Amino acid sequence: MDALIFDVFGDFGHFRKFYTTSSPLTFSFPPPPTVKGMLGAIEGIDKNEYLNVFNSNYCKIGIRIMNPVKKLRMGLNLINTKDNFWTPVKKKNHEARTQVKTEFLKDPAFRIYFVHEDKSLFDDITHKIKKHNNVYTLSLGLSEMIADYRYAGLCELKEIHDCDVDIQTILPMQDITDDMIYFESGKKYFKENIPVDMDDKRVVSSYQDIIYEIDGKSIRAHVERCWEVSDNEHITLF
Amino acid sequence: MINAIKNLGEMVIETENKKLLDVLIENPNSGGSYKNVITIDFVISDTDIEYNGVNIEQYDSAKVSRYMYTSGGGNGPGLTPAAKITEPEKTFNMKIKGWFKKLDYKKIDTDDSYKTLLQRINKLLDENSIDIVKNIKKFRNDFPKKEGLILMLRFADKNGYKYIGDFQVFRDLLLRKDNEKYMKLYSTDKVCSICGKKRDLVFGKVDTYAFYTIDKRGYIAGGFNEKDSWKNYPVCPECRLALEEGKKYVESNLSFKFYGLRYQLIPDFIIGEKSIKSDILDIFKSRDKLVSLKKSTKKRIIADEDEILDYLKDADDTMTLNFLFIKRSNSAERILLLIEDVFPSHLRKIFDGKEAVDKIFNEGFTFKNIRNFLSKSDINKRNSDLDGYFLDITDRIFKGNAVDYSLLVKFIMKRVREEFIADRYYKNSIKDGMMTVTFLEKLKLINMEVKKMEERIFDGIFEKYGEDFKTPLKRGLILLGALTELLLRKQYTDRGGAKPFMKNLKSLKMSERDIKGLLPAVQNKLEEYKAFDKGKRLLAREASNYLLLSGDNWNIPIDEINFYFACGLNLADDFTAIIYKKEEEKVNE
Repeated sequence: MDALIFDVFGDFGHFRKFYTTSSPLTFSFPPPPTVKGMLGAIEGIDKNEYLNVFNSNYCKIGIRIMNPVKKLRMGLNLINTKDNFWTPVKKKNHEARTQVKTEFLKDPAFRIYFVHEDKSLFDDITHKIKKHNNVYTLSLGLSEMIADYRYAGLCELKEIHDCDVDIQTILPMQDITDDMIYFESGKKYFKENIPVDMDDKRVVSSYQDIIYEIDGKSIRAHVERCWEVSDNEHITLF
Repeated sequence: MINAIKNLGEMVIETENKKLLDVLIENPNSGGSYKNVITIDFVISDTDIEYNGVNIEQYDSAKVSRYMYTSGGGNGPGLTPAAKITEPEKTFNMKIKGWFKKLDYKKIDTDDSYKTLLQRINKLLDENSIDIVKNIKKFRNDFPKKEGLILMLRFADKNGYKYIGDFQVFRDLLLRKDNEKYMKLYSTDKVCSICGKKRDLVFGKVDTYAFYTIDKRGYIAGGFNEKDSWKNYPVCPECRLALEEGKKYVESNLSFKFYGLRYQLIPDFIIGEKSIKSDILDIFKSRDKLVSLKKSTKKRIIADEDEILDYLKDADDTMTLNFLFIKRSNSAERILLLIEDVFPSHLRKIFDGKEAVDKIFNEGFTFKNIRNFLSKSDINKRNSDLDGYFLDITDRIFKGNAVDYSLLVKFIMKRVREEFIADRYYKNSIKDGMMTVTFLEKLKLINMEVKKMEERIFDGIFEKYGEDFKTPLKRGLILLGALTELLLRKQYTDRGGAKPFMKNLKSLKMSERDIKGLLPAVQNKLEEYKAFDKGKRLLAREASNYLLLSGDNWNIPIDEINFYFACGLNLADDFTAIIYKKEEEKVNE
């Protein structure tokens, strides 16, 4: 199985945790549906279409954290849509703007592993990434957070089963046999519940617990299934 | 974090063998100020039910599930006809009568006899409302205002008294009314975002914590359409109750006070409960242990009430802690700060830093020392207005992020100057500042410039404070500060409590130029007082040496210049202990 490897990075990122609205917190990495949105932007697929094109039945995604996760909070001045209307000037009991303290990722960088059964689509995306020739502008969660990307290579993935390995990507708990994680000193492990699959009606059909290391270091675990990129690089795919 | 709350809730439900209904029922006397219950009494016979006056009884914690009190409802009726009394007439009409009025009897798919019972109670309440209100008022007047009273129904039959919780119909209605609130927005046969399982029913607006609201369209991702908003955060009824229970548990057991700000401590277990050492897990499972830990006076670092962090620092990094700072105003909850994922290993580092500072200053360091200069921008202000800065520095300490040193020194100096100008005891403020800087330096949250220097007589004092005082300029300023302090003391004794030289210190806003002019002025004044003895000469010599080594154009903010000078004022005794010891040794030789 061939995989395209490319890096996405920027100054700031925000991938809102679904259970926050008025004080938005961010995931430490883009969840798979967000990565699919990025691929859709590169390839120029309509926003109503890309979730079908990159359906998990024929598309696989791996996400690796490349820069240590740094989070900071800033106030965003948003238009106030309370009571379903907006007024450009202050009215009684209704401000024109509302300030929302938002959590951002600083200097985020991720390595994406992309596999697709449609060879022509796969080749076209590879070509576009190599030439830095995207159709729509790429962002890291919010339109204000423009992203850049860089081609990192093509590789052949070898699927392996039931083994102790160092996993470089974010790791779904369900792939780990009997929670066999080898906690190593100097590493900081985080758990997050993220949306993994979304249909074209934007209904999430699967959520998973993910474990990752905050500085992007590998996690040693006994996994049911993973993919070997090279001798010392193993990844999991969604 | 939301999963952490749900996991806690599940743990409580399992440990305490709770039933669904127990999660919804609240203890009206949880704060201890509702010790009496006013009961509207009825007598039930086989054939009828009659009104039997208004009475009062003592609150009994064993009856909580029978009282079946819930706080929900706002100004309208709650989920059950039981309420805390605000104004007797209002509470009776809105909360008790209102509850029966709002019942849709057609929709009650229960036994006909129950339906009749409800209708009969409703009628009796209407018929006797004047008498009931009059009696409630009478009882209300018998108690001081600060003492709360609860109002509920009580039924006497041949077996004794019954409360609403003893009737199946009220129990069913509670569950139904609770669900109704969430049934305004729901979907069926969808995946729950908390447990990840496909469920028959998922609610679309579970606002256990107020950081999830969809009161503004802009918050609804994927089309700004409220009808579709359930897609954003679908939660199944089971997870909703676990969240509710988790929140309740955290609020009553893991809430702490932090210098006027309340925070909740939410533990999260990375690979589930089994990864946690049993003694750590016991803290959360056994309320008795939690209570005794809260009361214990072990080492404290952050709270001004007793805390359990000292105990949790010994856990493995398979557990993380979340600190949720919430401010309540009426029914709204405003999140001031959420510090997520603090590892026990980092807590250990914080405690190590604290211990090192304690040793240097011979005094217990806590966040109080920081709060002292990060509370009010003006000492005369009634309320604290620097909470944001204080929480920001708290966040940085708990997450291990760098702190802006110049900003910190600015706030320290602001407080020191206020005290200095008002001629109050400013040395405590300087000490708070020094302890904080040393603490942050030990945690490596501020970068200190370090320069290699030749060995000198006062190295021992400077070394004690670590990296903080390792440049000639800082040392020069400290020594000059100490020398000035000795002059001020001399003036104080010779002039009967006056320290006129203080005006030369320009309210601690001295620039490089001022400092350079200060050294000869201090020396001159000491000469005039005939107090420029060998010890002070040594101090002056060392100060000149370091200031000369610093050269021109120091390029540091005025706040920092004055902070180190003020440190010198504070450390004068450390230097006198050395300089006069040296002199004694020479005399002895």
